[in-house]
Amino acid sequence: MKRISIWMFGSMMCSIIACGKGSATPEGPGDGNPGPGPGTEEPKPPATVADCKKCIVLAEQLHNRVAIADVASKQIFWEWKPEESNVKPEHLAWFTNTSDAKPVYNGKYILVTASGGGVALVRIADKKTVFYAYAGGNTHSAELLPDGNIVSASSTGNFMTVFRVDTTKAATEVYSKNFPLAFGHNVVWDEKNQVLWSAADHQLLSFTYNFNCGEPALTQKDAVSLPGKDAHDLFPVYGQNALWLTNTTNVYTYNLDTKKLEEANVLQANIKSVSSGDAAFPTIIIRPKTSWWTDEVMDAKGNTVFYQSGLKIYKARWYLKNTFSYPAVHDMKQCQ
Amino acid sequence: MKKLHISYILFSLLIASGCGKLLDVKPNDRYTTETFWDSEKKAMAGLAGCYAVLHEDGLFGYATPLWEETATPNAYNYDNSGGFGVIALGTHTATNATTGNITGGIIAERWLHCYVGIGRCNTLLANIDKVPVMADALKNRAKAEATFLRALYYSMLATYYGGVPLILDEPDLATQGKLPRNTREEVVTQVLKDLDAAAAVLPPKYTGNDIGRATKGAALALKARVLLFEASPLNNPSNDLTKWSDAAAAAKAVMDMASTAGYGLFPNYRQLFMPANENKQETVFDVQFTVSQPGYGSAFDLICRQYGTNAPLRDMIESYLMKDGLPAAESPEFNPANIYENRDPRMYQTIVYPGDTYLGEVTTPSAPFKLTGYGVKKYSIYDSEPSSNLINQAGRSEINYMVIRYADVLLMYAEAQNEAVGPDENVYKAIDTIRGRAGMPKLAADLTQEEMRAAIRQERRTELAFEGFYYNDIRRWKTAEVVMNAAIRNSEDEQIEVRSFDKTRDYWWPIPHTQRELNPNLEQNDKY
Repeated sequence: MKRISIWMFGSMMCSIIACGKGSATPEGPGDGNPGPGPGTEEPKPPATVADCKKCIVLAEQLHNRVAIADVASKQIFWEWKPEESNVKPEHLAWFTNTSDAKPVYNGKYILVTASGGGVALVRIADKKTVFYAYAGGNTHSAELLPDGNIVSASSTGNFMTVFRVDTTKAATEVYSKNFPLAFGHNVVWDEKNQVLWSAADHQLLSFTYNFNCGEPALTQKDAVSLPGKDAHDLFPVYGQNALWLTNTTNVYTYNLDTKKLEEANVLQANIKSVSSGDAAFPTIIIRPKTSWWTDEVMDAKGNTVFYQSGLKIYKARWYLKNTFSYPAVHDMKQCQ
Repeated sequence: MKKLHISYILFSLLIASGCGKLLDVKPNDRYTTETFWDSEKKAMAGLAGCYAVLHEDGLFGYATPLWEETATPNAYNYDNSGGFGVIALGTHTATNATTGNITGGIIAERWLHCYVGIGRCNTLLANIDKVPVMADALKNRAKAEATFLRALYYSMLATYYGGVPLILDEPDLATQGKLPRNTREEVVTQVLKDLDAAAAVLPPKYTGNDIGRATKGAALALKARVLLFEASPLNNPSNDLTKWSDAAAAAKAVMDMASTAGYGLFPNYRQLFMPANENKQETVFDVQFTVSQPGYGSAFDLICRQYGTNAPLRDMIESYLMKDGLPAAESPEFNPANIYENRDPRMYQTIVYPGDTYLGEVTTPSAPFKLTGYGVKKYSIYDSEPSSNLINQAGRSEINYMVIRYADVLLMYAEAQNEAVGPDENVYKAIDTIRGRAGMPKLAADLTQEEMRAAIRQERRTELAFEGFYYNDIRRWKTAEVVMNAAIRNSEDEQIEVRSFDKTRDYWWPIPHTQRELNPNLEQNDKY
């Protein structure tokens, strides 16, 4: 039985840190700004990310950041910018044009990629970039492997990059290895089947992992032909053994039990990301208004879920637990 | 200096020399200059490496030639893609030369990739004679192809930066890394020498898988382009007429080999820029894009349909003559209530405008081309019909980019001939041939030289629109200081931004600061 699984752990320490350093929003009475007029009760954003009831994690390119927006208050109340973290100045270009942001490790971390080639694991509580490295080749997405290592997908580079995650290593000294992946845009770990999925151009590929923490490697296992081409987003359907898949013309779901691909009942064509939740969470999509971004997160029918004029949102994910990819208890780990 | 950013061959060389000092063994897990040149197959692969540079962002890869149009009054690049936005605004510097959206700044990239190509060509020329079993004819042709490509890369450097270090030997950091700039004249002289040498060897055409390689016509046509640039006001302030006649003769040499090479105008202007009609009679030299392997295509369709980073401007619309050959202000065909009616047919084959049908839907000033209201059809597979083949990915477009096409040869000839001797019948014939293909009437008889000059410039802007040539046209005509000091407007006649052009600075690009850090002996261009 699936239930809405918002993370509620938020220890006192996390709350203190997030409150002290985390608020990116000048709005709200708590900040001393004038509040809404008498008689109105505008919702306020949660005190910390851990307190989220309905939040969206945004890959937002206007400010080259990851942003977390609260739907009720319509506010972005948390953000990570590489230049305000511990990313070295000479590596900031790696994080140009944030391309994906996935909540991981029970909602305590975010796995970030950027078109500039950067891959980063960010701790939400204090915004520390606990690990980062360079993949290059227009990096579009990344995934955690079971032992804490990271794999990313790069589009114009046509490769995946597997990183040995060792937080004691400098970014330029991280062990990594590339594996061919046509038009790499996505990678999703399948916890149940213990394989990595990637929709690469016109094929859905699965890869086995060697579980060699020190010398991680992936080997292609199966290939499923897909209609259309230029597969873009691949992300778990919340609470199901299935994956969302988008390409230039369509949005599909791929059911891993039945191995059937079905066109989804959502807006079609040029959808950059899809994310779903339980009944209380509408399926959200990103459809570009300009070039590849938009200022609006929409539901499956095109209704606005979150909007902020001028933003350059590339992908949007519900801040929800991901049981497809990760175990129920999932603490940050690294190669040992 | 250039050594730091040269080819994999050089990189291998450096590795090899390091190994040799320590152990005196030859690595067997990579090629070195010593081990590479031992078979015809490898030699031809090395030559392919010389061509591969054409796909780089600094030359003709991704959408670079389409973006180059955005540094002109024809188009707008709203997000500084490829660094052309700052050039259009006149805010480019040696420091921001590296900055560009999607791809790096063109000012830094072009320098870099031209020298990558030059390094590869020089390596081939220095080593191919070592190949033990390879027919002399093929060796000589390969050398001529590399010589042509070296000339192309040097001509690009001389065209945008002026004089650059002239290096003709294979890469060697110790002797070449700190070379000062040669004069522009020295570089151009070498380019012309290389092109003559290449033209003497290269065949007029190829068959089979060799189609796309440099031909004799390509070498002669590039020579014409280089000489035309030299004869133009930017580089010929005294208007030395022999420079114009040299340019005319070079273009004429290409026209004279039309029958042997099969040159002519492709009958349909719109279809000329479609994949089905690649490598036909109008192609003199093109960059071969393919989608058979990921990453070997261009981003032309993506840019034109979705990103809109080469968005046409209203000034471009207004520049098109009416279909009777007259300017709008003089033509009874002009309808002020609908400025899109009755224009030169090429407008409808090049641009999508509000009220036009695109991909099955009638367009508006804000959809789907929200940036200016206009979109580009040329060099894109998309037109009025719906399409299920939506290309959302860079490297997915396969239409070749024509670096030189035969219509340009005719235009070059007409321009040079008109300047050298005036508007003779050959000038009329060249222009009217192009207008005839487009469905436009012939030029009025008895034009003065000045009127013909204006007509030719008009014709170049129309015929070659959105192909990336107009930037160098307004530079060499020295009209950029007028047309680039202006506001640009969208389809609703609303101002988008005001551009500026410093005539004492902006005719030439700065030497990128990254290169001057590597080689302090590179003198900067004026006022940068």
